[in-house]
Amino acid sequence: MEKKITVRVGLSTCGIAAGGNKTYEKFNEIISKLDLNVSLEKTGCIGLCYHEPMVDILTDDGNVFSYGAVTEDNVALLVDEHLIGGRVVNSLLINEDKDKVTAKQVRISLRNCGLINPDSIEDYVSNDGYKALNKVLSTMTPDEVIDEITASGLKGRGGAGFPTGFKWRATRQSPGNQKYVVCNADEGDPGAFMDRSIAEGDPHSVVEGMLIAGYAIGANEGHIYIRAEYPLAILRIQKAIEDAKKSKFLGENILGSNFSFNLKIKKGAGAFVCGEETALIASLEGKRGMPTLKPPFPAQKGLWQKPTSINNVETFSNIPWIISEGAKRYASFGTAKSSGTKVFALAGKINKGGLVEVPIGMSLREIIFDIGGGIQGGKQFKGVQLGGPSGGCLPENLLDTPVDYDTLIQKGAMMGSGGMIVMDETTCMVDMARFFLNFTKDESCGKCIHCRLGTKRMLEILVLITEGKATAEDLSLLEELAVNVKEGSLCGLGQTAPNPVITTLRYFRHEYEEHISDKKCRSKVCKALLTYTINEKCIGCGACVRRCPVNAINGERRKLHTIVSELCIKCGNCVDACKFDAILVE
Amino acid sequence: MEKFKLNINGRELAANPGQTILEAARENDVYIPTLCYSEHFEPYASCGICLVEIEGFPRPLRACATAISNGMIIKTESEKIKKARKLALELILSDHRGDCRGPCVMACPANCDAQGYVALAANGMFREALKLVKEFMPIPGSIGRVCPAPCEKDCRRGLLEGAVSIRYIKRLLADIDMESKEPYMPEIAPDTHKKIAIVGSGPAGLTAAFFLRRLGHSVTIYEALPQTGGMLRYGIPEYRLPKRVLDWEISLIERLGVEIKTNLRLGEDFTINYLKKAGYDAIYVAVGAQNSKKMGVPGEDLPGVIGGADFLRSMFLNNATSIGKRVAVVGGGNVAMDAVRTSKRLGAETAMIIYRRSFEEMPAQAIEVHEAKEEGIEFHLLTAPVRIEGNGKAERIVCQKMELGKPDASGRRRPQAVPDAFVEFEVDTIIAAIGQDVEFQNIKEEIEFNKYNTISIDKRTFATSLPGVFAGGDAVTGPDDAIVAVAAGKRAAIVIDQYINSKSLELPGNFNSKTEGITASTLTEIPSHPKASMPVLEPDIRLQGFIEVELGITPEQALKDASRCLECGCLDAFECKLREFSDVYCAKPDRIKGSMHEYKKAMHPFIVREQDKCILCGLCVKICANVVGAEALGLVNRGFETYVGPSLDRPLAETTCISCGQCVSICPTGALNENLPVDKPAAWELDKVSSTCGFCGVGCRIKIETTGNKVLRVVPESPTGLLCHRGRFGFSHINDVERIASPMIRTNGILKNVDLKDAMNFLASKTKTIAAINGSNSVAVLAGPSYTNEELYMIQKFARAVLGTNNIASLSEHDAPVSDITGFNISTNSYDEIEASDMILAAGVDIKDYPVMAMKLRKASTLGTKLYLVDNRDSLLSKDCHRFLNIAENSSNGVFAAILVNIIKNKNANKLFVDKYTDGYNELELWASSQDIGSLIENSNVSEKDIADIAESLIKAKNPLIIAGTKRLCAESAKILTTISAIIGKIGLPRRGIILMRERCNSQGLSDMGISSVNLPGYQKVGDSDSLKKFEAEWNVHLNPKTGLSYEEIIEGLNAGSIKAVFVFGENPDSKTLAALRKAELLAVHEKLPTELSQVADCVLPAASFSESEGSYTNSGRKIQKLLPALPPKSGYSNLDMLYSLMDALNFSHKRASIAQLRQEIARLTPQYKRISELETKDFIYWNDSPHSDIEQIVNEKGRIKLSVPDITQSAMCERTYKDSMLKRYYDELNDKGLNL
Repeated sequence: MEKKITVRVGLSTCGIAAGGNKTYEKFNEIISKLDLNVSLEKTGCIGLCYHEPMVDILTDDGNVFSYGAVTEDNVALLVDEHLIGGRVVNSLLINEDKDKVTAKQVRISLRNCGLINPDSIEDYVSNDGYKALNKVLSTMTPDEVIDEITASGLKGRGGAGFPTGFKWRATRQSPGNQKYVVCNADEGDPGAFMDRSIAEGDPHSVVEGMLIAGYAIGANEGHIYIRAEYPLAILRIQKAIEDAKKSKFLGENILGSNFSFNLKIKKGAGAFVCGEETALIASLEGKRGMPTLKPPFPAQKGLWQKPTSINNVETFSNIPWIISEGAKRYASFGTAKSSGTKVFALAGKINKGGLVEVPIGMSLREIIFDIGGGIQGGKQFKGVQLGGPSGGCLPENLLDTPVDYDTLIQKGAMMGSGGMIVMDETTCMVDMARFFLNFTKDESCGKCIHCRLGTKRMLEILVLITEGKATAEDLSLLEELAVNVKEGSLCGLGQTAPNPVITTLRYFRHEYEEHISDKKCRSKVCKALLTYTINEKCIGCGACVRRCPVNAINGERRKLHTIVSELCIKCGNCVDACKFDAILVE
Repeated sequence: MEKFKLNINGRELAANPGQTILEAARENDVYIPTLCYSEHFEPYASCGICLVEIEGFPRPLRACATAISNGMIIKTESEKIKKARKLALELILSDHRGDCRGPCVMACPANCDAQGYVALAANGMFREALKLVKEFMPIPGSIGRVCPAPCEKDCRRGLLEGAVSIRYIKRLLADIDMESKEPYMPEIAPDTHKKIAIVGSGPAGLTAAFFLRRLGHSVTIYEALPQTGGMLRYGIPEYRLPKRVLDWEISLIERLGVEIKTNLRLGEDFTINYLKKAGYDAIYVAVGAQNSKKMGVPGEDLPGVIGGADFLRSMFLNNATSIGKRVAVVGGGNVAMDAVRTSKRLGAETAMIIYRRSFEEMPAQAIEVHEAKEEGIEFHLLTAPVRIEGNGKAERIVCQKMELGKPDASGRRRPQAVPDAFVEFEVDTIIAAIGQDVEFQNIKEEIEFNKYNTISIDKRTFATSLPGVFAGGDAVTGPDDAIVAVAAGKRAAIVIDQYINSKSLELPGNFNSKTEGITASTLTEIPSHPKASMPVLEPDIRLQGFIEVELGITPEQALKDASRCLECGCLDAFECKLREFSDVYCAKPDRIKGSMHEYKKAMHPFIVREQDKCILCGLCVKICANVVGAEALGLVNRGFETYVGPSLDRPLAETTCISCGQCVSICPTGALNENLPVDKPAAWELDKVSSTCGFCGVGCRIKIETTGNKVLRVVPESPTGLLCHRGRFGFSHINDVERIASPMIRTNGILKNVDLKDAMNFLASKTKTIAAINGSNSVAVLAGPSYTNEELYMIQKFARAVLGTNNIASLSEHDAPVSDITGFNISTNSYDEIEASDMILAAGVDIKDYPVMAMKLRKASTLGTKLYLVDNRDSLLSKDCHRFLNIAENSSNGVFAAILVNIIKNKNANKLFVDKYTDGYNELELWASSQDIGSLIENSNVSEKDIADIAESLIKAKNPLIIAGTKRLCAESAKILTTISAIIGKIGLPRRGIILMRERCNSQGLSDMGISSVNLPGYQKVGDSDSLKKFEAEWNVHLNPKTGLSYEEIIEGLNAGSIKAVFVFGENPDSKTLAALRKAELLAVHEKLPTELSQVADCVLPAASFSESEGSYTNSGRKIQKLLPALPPKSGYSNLDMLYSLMDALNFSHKRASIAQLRQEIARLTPQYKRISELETKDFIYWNDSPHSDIEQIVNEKGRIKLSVPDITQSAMCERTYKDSMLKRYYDELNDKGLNL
């Protein structure tokens, strides 16, 4: 019997975290109980993470109805109304918003995410999957493949933005019979989840991209180095590899050609620095993940000292599309210097947090406001941290900056892997720099003194600043350290770790100075600098007294209360408890 | 390839493409500092100190990791780079915990190395301690008596039971020296013909004179007063500093050649201008400050009022005025105490101190105040004189009572008058001891003074306003402690020397890291030992005269007290690169502050790890993994929490560590140090001698570092050299208390010490009698491989020429493994060729037997040499070689024979070579055809494929080298391997041949020098009359033409009674041999340490260790390398001395030859050693003057290599247990220490 209606539940990590599994189970239960002629499927993330759990209902006439916030409690409603009754449930329908968010996007890397079932190779194939592989194996020489990728202008999407075609060519031209393709899926930036979503939502695109890379550079072995913290992505890639093997896309003499290729998965143990390619190679070889000198570059001496091309997940997922649709079409997106699209993970104080893919060169304002829906709670935009903890923070007056590799570097930030964390007026920029430095300090491999000790000392100074204990000399030492850590470190981690400090000092220096000389934190984040007092609005209800964990609030009932500042631990409970705006925080 | 042109710091240079900036710079003598670079491996690039600026690059780059490109313009010392290095160093220092120098050293104005000499004293090395003190001051006896000892104030032991008694110890050292027959006299540099005048013979002048004289300058001191010593003589009473001590110390300075002219006062009798005209190259003005200050009260000009310093001086000028019964001394300093106590001794019934503040503020030393109280001195405190009254002379002093107000600039509470409170004292004499001024009236015309009326100088250079004129001491500082003047004198000597040599001024570095936060509560694990107490004269006896009050501590007290030192200063103080660079780049250790790690010191029997000082450069981890292969150390954790730790955080001794000490050598800071073999280690500048290691046949070059008569450290000769645990740490036998130090003769069954003459007479008469009755063939000589070539030559000469016997053998040598084939039992190639070979087959060469060879092989393997290891035990190298064949016990002969058979059967022998150079191939081929490879390798754990693989690799390789460890491989295995290299035609050429790894340091020399019953030196046969004649002519004797007995035959002879007398040199036989030797009528043993053999000898002669000998060893890589003595022989007799004495005693007519003459004799007689005399100027020569044997040298007389059919039935691989006394002692020690190496 032909199924007429398909129900697709978003089951990426974001969907699952929002309860997607329960939603899926509930559908399953009801559909089988009622024996409905409905096909239930799962899919990846389409990028509207703030709507999860998301459910698409595809009707036989080709319409797609997207529903947001479909918790298990809403399932029965959807079944009754839409599946059985054929009536659209407008209260949950998000089609309009979806159209709005996706209107300005160009989805190449994410072309299948949220649309196909990641666990189904048939789904992938029926969406033109492995067509590109077939094309290169049957009609293209390796050099032609590299030429095509070079012509597309694709740059490595992992952060450094190195031209992919160039990297492949260097690897191809390095002497030696044994070469490797490595996929860097060690996405470690806090707030970044582009690679995870692709691996979860469209694993075959990565496999196909690696296969094409292997053919192009002359490698017959590939390794996917993936974070162990991405269990679902690992499962989906594992399944993709198994299915591809069964379908003869992987293994010996692929599609009848002379080309053989095998893939292995290696789970990374969570060291941020292992996203650096030389450290990643060391880790793959079973050594301590520490960067080594370049040159030699991995393209010359990589894994097991053999020529190796390392590209990240997003880069690979672009490859099949470029081969199928042509370099020219890819290059028609983006700017002259940076072609194509880039996926960004919108996070922080933004209304519509999630994944978006836009042509390179789109302005920050368009991404944050037009696509991301602006700032939560109607608050004031303050800054956006681009490129993860190694990136920089740009202020409001740079919102019209086009997001491309060169411009961002010029402004002190970087494209990085595509993390975009939006901050509003309640974010203290010193505290924000402290947060990122705390991350890089922990993730330094410990090799270079500048990185190991410099980031630690910078962090200590930032802590002093947030505690109001720093002096002007500390600030100048912080700046001196920032410059020297940047110049004295061996790998990208250390070279970029001071970026959050450098850019916030560049654009938000006044906040540092306020902390130091006025002992004030304008965003009211740095506790040590805050004082809690009660003003005349207090009616003496005692709500705050009950919530204070340290009994720091005194006062008779129905009379003005007072806070004993020596006891106050600045937890903020009283502010939450007070209904009369009587607690003053300064 | 054409060189690249570079410009470094403005200099145009050329360098080879492919080099890094660091390499290119070093090659061109441009120094770029780095803390993490080593020639041993690829740059690690962690420290970031080597940053340089390159034109066109926006940011600095690491010189160690940046390849040069043509036309590069590089700046290595720009201001930006200097600042960056400074910051990098400061970052390191922000988590580097330790004291470069102990607080005692830092507290001393002269930075006298108190920790260093205290530690030497704790080790009982008093003379070395005194020597060290004299590197800082010439007058320790005086300073040890009068110094307020700021060192002790800062001593951390003071946080516990009291500071280490540094001053008492110093004084004792000087006293011991004073009483010794040969007081220590420092060496004086050759005469520079420069003249220096010093004005003033106080502590500053004397010190400057001492150090300038040591530098070879001629020094004259001009002294105004009749006697020398300045304030030490005229300001310090006899009971504190007996003048005989001062006299003696000054006399030593005079003995060095310093001229002293007295009664000549500057400004009266001569002028500075006069000195200049007299031709002095530099002048040092150290006239002191002797003019007593005035009190500024009415009546102080009355007779009966005298200045403190004037009063004390008049005492010694023997015109002491009568002081009457009541004396008041005004002041609270040391001069006041000295004056008041002197007054009491001069008969004053009442002697009082009048001082305007309280005890707490009193500047005098506490001990002086204490002793003054004991002596009944009255103290009137908070009392200030306002006027002196009297009729024609002082009779009364009127004082105002004071109280203490707020602290003044000096930190002392300022006294203020209590209104209307007065007190008066009836007195006969008033002594104003409130300070002294410089007497400048006479010299101010010539030299500039400052507003404080002291001589004005440049603080850094001590230069006055006059060129070539320097000044120091109290004349510059105003009255201060003697040690401050000593410090000034020493520093002045350094700058004056530099001024004279017109060098730029470079004062010694002063960077010092300091451990903060140490309190009594952090020193909880230290067992309590009370401070030594100084015995003093009872007060009533003291007052009877001017006898010295402090009696001095005993050496036992000093030893005990010195042992209380907490060893604060770093062992690496003089070698630490972090300290050196911090100094150069003016790093401030506390500019960058933050949390610091605190680790515990970790002890290994040979290595001390102080992680607090680790800078995580990673060098130790890298060298352990990449060069040694042990991987005993690793980096643990990430980021700031990273540390270097032994694997799995076990104690180092329980890891795969092989105790080679490479990590210690490469560590740039004090994080890894040798566990020095003394009770109390400290950083000392040691005496260093380059020599050759006395353990295995690898023959590493070493630097032996000693102090006094102790070896403290052995390190590789060059910074990039390698050593194993034996060479690095196996030297305790040299300092061993059981060392045989005197000849001994057995009388009534007991060995007793005798003098050399008696021992010689005994041996001579016994030997002569035995030889007369039984013939000279009843005498035998056994000698071991730890002797030098020169000694071995003399031993066989003694046997042949003096004893008339050819019964010469060694217990340690098995029969020559390959001489049957190649003529000589010597490696055909040198170690230098190892890295250049493309294939190496190494058998029985594991890291346990030959650690350094294993490291060399590892390196070759890393560089791409195909390394095959064949061994019956696993080794650290096995995982890093191309192929490891872990063969079964005793299967090596079969395995090697199988390779041979494979080559022959597959017709892969080099027929051209075989036909041209060898005999016996047909027999070999015939034998091979009858062999089945399968059965040859049965039960060997090796497959036929392995055999084919090795055979093919040997055939294909251009430069295959075979390395055979003869310690465990039997002779037959070595022979088969040699046969293999012959039939493939890869022998007798550079990089092609066989290296025979000999077991002991001079196993090779033992064969070469004719410790053999058949071979004379140089493998010349005893039976060959031409050879024999050559020796007879040279030695001028008639030699025994009969081939002697082999080792086995000697044992048989002993058992049969035909051998009656045996001289054993350095052999430690097994029980069977021992039993046979006991049967000898005369058993003479030359030994370093007691052995089972020496216990049963009739006569024991003391032997010198390799570190006490001059000579040469021949290593397994054809190098004949020089040994130099680092210490005198323990017994006073070198091994050659002993042999000459034996020859003398047995009436051998000869002249005692110098080592140079002896080498000439060896050169004349031994073809392979014909250039041995070149060792007078070189560290090594090659055997037969060539690093490899040419084919012509290998072939036998007939021009053929004699191939022989393998005998695979012989035993193959075994662990040999031969250990001479030194090895045995060392392995016992390892056992005691729980190390299985």
